[in-house]
Amino acid sequence: MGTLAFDLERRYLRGPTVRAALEVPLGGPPVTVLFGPSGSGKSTVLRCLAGLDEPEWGFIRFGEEAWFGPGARPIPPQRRGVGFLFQEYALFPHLTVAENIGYGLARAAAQERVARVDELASMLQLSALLARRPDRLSGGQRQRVALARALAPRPRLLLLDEPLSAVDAPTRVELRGELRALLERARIPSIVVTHDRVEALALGDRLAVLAEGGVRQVGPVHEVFSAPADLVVARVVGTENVAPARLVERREGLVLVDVDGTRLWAVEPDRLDGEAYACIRAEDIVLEPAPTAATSARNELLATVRAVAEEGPLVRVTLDCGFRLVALVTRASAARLALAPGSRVAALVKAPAIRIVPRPS
Amino acid sequence: MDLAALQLSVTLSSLTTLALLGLGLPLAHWLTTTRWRWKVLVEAVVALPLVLPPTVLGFYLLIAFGPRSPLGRAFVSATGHTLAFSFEGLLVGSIVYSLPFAVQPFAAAMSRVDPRLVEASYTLGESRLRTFRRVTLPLALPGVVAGAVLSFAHTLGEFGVVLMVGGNLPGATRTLSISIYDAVEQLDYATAGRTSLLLLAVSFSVLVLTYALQRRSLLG
Repeated sequence: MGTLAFDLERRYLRGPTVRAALEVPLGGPPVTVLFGPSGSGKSTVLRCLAGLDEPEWGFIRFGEEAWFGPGARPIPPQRRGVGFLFQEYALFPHLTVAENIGYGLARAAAQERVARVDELASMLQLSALLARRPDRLSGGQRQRVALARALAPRPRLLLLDEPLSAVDAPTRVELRGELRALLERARIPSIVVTHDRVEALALGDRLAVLAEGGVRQVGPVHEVFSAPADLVVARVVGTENVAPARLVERREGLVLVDVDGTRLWAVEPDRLDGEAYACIRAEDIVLEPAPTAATSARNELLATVRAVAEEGPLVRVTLDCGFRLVALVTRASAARLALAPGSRVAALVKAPAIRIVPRPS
Repeated sequence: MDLAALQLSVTLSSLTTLALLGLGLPLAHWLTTTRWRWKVLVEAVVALPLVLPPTVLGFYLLIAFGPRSPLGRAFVSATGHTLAFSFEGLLVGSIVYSLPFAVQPFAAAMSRVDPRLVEASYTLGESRLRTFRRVTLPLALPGVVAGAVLSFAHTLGEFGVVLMVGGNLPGATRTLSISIYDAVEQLDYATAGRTSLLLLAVSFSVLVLTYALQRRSLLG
């Protein structure tokens, strides 16, 4: 399998210049998240990939095909074979759900079109709604119709622009899990644009951070979130520890998860079944002197200090407690604990301070 | 009532409306999609008949139809008679005169179509032309119907341009409004009254229809 590779620049009159370079493998895990603050140009990049906008400069290559580049006419959106999910879904208001889904199959034989529409409708639980118009659908149903419409012509690449921003918060939690499962089932390389951390964690396999005019870091989602490569990325993704976690047991509204061999108690989130990420903000970790005797206190982690760095009034302490954990403490407590690389401490985290983001697969 | 004049006016209005659909839809589509910086010039030219006295428009058309202009000469050599004082000349004049009544409602309706729907159609493999037919046109339909109806009614009632370009030849260029003018000149107020009432009724119905359509498109 090839790669989708691009390096492009788009200038705006009296606005920012968007520059982004990235390589997306087309074979491996399907979902790449393009993450960045609003105004960083994520949507512009997506529109350039679809052929809806044209970069001033650069190239876009999909496998062996040059979609955009010097000395050649850009391939129009009609011939890129790209499925695009718009932020507000952009369903055709004058067509039924069935006609919306079948829109991109105009050249297929009628029988084939009907079969494909039925197939997608049953996969996305839309079979009962085929005769409805989009204005009679809920937010979640609209999203599924938009997804079915984009998938119908069997695109080679799926582009999703803030796919969950148009629905209310409770629906969003539900759709997040659904969308991840669907993207995995569809097995089409996908690029999701979002500025929402939880969305990025729930949907993505790889994460590319777009900030201050460029792609600053690319890697597995939890790695980028827990180990930002530079200050710009750290500011964009926040200081939070993110680690893959596995459900061990449930008890009284709490869950016990396993993070690289370490057991942590956390408040149970909605729809947790198996894989998840555990997120702990660096400010929420309390450091204490390492206990001399073994302890059975909940969420007390014995750790070795790996690095200590001063950050304004605070000190950033990188710990190894089976997995990598970053804590932010005051200078006073850093001095009291005599923190230095190699020293032993206990890290305490309250259960409500551990956020579990489910990652259905 | 002058039935020949009525028939002529209806024929003229129908052909003008058809021509304006063929000419106005692409023009309106171009106006709503182009990023050309001088498109305001085209918009102004399209709107000119709204403010220009019909006599001024008629005068320039007469010059353009005359034997000294390339258009006039080409028409004479092709058909053997002049554009001026002929039905064909009247048709050309009516098309120009009613252009804003077609193009402006077309363009207004098309510009209300969400551009993302058009882009969605492109990403689903549909060409510009097919996207226009499957998305833009159906969604802009109330505005297109309104523009066509207004063009028809406007042509039905035109007077100044007709008089300047067409004169008053029964069966060829004498339209309803000219026949009203003739009747009044001959102090035949009864005929003038009947014809006027017909035009009033048609115009009123047309406007009611137009506003009803626009209301429906706003609600829908």
